[in-house]
Parts: sequence; C-alpha cells; structure tokens
Amino acid sequence: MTRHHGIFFVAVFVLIGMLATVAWLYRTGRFSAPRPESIGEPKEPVDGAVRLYFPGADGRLHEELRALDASGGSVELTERLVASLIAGPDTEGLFAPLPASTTVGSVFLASDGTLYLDLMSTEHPVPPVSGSQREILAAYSVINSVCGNVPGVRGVALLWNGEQRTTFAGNLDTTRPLGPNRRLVSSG
Amino acid sequence: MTARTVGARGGILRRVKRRLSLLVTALAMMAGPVPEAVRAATEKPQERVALYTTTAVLDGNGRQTPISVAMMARGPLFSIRTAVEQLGGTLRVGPLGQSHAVELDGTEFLFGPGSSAITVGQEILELPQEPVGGPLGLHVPLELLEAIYSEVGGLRFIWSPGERRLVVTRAGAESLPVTVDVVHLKGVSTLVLQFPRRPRHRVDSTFPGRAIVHILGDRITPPPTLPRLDEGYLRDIRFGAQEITLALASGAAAESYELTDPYRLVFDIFPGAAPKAAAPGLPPPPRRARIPTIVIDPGHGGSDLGAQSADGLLEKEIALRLARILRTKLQARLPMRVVLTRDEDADLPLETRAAIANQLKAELFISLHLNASFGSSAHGAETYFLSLEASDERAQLAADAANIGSNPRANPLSDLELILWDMAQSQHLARSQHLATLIQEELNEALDLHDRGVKQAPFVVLNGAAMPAVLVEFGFLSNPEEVRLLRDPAYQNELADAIARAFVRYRPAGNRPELEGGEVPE
Repeated sequence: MTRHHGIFFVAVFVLIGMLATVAWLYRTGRFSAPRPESIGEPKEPVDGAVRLYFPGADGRLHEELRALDASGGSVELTERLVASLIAGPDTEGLFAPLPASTTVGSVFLASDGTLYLDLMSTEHPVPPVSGSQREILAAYSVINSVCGNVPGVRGVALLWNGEQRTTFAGNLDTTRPLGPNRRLVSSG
Repeated sequence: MTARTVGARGGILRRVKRRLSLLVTALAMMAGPVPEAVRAATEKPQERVALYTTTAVLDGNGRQTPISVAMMARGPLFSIRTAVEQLGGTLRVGPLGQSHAVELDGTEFLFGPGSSAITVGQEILELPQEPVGGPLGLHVPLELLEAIYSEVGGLRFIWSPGERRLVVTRAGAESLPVTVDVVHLKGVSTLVLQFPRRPRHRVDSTFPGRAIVHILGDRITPPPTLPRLDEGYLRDIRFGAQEITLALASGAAAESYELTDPYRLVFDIFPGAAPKAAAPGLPPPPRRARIPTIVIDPGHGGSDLGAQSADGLLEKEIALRLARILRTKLQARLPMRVVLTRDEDADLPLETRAAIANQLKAELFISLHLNASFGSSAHGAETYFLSLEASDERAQLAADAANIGSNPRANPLSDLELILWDMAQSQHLARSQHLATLIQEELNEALDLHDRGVKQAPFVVLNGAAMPAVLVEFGFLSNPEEVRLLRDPAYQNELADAIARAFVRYRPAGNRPELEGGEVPE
C-alpha cells in the first residue's frame, strides 16, 4: 500500500462516519431542517408545550402555550388537545370553543392526512346552533389546534355523535375535511 | 313566490357529499383499524344508489309501453323521457345534463338531478325525493309526474309495485263555478275571476285585443249575472265550456296574476303601446320578456331557529322580516322579480335554497343572517362570499375537467358532474366579492357600523349557487345593544335600504347593467 492509498482509505472512512452520524441525528430527531412558522405544519414543541387556539370576543383565535404530555401517537395527542380546549383557556377574555359536556368519541388519522374527529355530547344531540362567527371560531379552534400540533394532519373532518353533518352548527360546510385557517389567528 | 312542500324532503347533495367524504374514509380505512364512529358513519345506507333497476309497464292512453324504473330505498323513480314520450309534452335537457324542463300546454316545469325542488312558473314545489340520473336518463319520483300531468294534463297515476305497472287514467271533468268582478280605478281596469279552487289552466295573451283563459280538464259554470262593462278597458267577457275570453279595448293590454284564499285569477287591463309594425313579408320574431331575478334567502326557519339573543330574539324571525322589507324596496327601485326562498316560518334545506335560485336562473343570490359570537362585545355587520379553502381538491377536479374538455353527459350521474354542480359558485367568486364589497360599503356608510369587512368562509348555502352569491350578517344577537337596534323597525328599514342601494350600484363584468330588464329572442 502506498502512502496515497492510505490517505484515500482514511478519507473514505471519515466520510462514511460523518454520513452515519448525520443519518443517526435525523433518525433520532436530534437534527431537523428549519420549518416555516405556520399553522398546518407541525411545529416543534416549545419546551414540551403545545399551541392551543382559543376564541376571543374580538372574533379571532388566540394562541396559548400549554405544557402537554406529547407521548403516544396522533390519537392520544388529539384527545389530549381537544380535552384541553374543552377545559378552557388560562387567559382571561378567551373562551372554550365547545360546550363543557363535549367529549372526544373517537379519532382516526387516515393516510391522506385527514384526521376524523368524532365529538360526543349527550346534552347536545346536534352541535348547538349559533351565529356564523361563533361557529367558525369553534370549528377552527379545534382544527387549527390539531393541525398545528399533531404530525401528519393536513385537515380535520368533524363528526358529531358519530354523524358526519352537512354543517357544523348551521352554516359551515363540514361534509369534507377542513384545513387550518391562519387568517383567524390574532397577530397580537 | 314561496316554496311549497309536496312531501317529505331530502337532500341528495348532502348525501353525495357525505358519500364522497366517506369514500375517502373507506380508502383510508384500508391502512389500519377503524374507530367505531367512523365505521358507523360509513355504514349508512346509500340512498342515492338504486337498490335495483327494472322495467315496468306504463299503461295509459290506450297503450302499454315499457318504462325504466329505479327502485330506491325511498320509493320508485320513473324514466322522465319515456313518460314524456307517452303522455305528451316536450322535454329539454341542459348542456350539462343537470337542468331538465318539461313544457306541457304552455306550462314549464324545471327540475334536475340532486335537487328536490321543482319550479313551476313562479312556484317552487318540493319533492319527497330527488330525481336521479343514470345511463338511461333522468328518473323522477311519481310525485313529479303527478305535478306535471295531474296539474296540467288532468291525468291520475296508480303504481302497482307487485305487478310492476304504472296505470295512467284521465280524471273526470268537474264543474267549475266562477264569479266575476270588475273595478276601474286610476286608469286601470281590474277583472277578478274567482274559483272555488285553483283550476288547471293557462292564459293565452298572444292575440292582440284578447286574453283567453283555457281551463284544462274541468268545465266552466258561468256566473248567473255579469258586471256592467260601460267604462274601462274591458269590452266583453265570453264563457265557453273550457275557456273564458276577454275582449279588450283598442290598444289595451292585459297582465294576469294569481291571488289565494280564495283562489282568484286577476287581470289588470291598461292602455298599452301600439304594436310596432313588422317588416313587410316577415312575421315579427316571437319575443318573451326576460325578467331579471334576485333571490333573497332568509336564513334558517322552522325548527332551525338560528342564533338567539339572551332575551329570546330569534335569527330566523329577524332574517325573514328583513327579507320581506328588502323585497319591497328592491321591487320599488329595480325592474325585477324578487323571490324569497321562504316567505314563512318553515324548514328549508340549505342545498334547496341555492337550487331555487339556480332553477329561476337568478342573477343574484343573497342570504340574510344575524350573527353571534363568544362574549357580548362583538358588534357590527360583515358580508361573506364563498371560500374554496376547504375544497381545493374539488375545485382542482372541476378545473381539470374543464381543461381536458370532459363531457359530463357521457355519464349523466357521474360524481364528477355532481361535484361540478355542487361547486357552481366557484365560477362567480369575483362578482360575489364585488357585490359583497358594495354591500359592506353601504352598511358601513349608512349605519356607521363597526366595519367587520368582507370575509370568506365555506358556507354550504353559497356552495351550489350558479350566480354571484353573498351572505350578510347584519349584527350580533350576542350583543344586547345590537339586539335592541335589530328589534327596531326603523333600523331594519335602514339595513334593507343599505342592501338595496348596493344592488342598484351593482354591475356585472363588462359594465353591462345586469339588473335592468330587457327582452331576449326566444
């Protein structure tokens, strides 16, 4: 083996080692490309926190950071997110989007990125009918929170007591999945 | 015009949409275990799909003819093409296979797949189930055949499912007493023909100086005495067994309309312009008046209360009140027909509201609502037009179909075609936005309201409207101060005034005055 052959083999060995290290970092989630800041794209947890979107009296959704157990799969995380929304905001002046009697019936994430979310309430056989602003804020509070925190979710199909309904509460089309709505989120 | 219910109503669009969504669900389910609720949603009966198709016998007019029947979960549907061929009338089908029109003795019935509404003249009827298309053409419920042929042709239908036989008989002629009254006021002679019930009839005004009422099926019993006709523009009334002929004064013209409870057929007769002379040797081209139409949709209704204030003011009531005021104002300002989707406190499916506007070929559609929000501080008006955010894939599907020059008629009931129809509003978004902007400007200026601006949302009621369409939220029932205002008739009047001004300002693309009346060749 000549001296040049020795340098070549060392260089190849170092290169393979670097590639293996990068691959390991990606696989273990220790390294990732920067993501754009937008609802709909799963965001990196902020010190284990999730972003919840609660309706405000100003007709906007307001972001609240919450520490939430992010273990488990998309189903468990969605259940915890929606339960937190139903429990209500920490911030004064914001509102819980759904009646307190609402529970999560079942959750199913389809391979096309649609999350089927069945909301249940024995007190309300159908979603309480309201004005369109309340309806829009309630629906997108859930949709934005789920799309913004659960990896792989592109849109949410809302069901109520096992039924896929024409509208969520009288106006909003829920016959197909709804994607997140950034414009409703308060910039303040 | 009001919507009238023939039977129980349904919503095929709703089911088709659900079916499409559930199809996605079903495909997705292949990838893993299925939650109970999703499984339950996918296992609903597919009411749009025929249980089976068969051939029955159409037994009428002395002939027995095979007729295709689609057996649905909610009852049989019959081939409209065969029915029209055997029972009379003319069937016209629109370019997309959606709009169907049967004309019988001068009366036109408009209907189509996916809509339980039929338009008959100025009346909307509601079918218990929607017509459905297929390889053998459109199939319609028996109630639609009865609406066409009982109303105008005097036929009766008896369906025997065991024998698979549809028997058609001619109803016996009944005596039809009529009373006559004439008044002459302010340069108009008004003739009132009163009947014990609405007779099957048509009015023929094609002959100058005459108007003829043809009674279909029944026989007229003339009144024992007639009013004096010394003055005014009505010269004579003659009664035949099945027709009433009005002789008008020279140069006079007549317009007819109907009143109910009791049923009256009314003619307003007034001095008209002399007809223009036709070119020598050429008959004048037949023309019909094209009356521009605006459809106003008072939101909610019946069991659907909509939003309500803390002290019980209901959205459905204020929306209807505003719609009636707006109708009056528009009719006073614009030469147009203004139609309410509901003129009473009645349930009306969301899809039917746009279908009514489509069937009337309306120029504009406006849905009136009152808002509510979290808390009590939100206030002001906002105007919406449709957002396609929730349906990008469907919009893309429509665009793809247009690009490849697809022919939806190749399969008249393809899901694609229904999607295209369902997304009819996507063709009118720019004009919808224009109208929404005008309305918002007028509301802001007139009432010094908090400007909540023009917004977009995927509202079901706007989805299927094949014309510029907007939804107006006039104020918040969750705000006590706005509730007080919204109760005030003067405030309601100002709100309607603002909307009316926006309609007067509205011009379609190319600055053609869309809302001005005109005539189009037949």
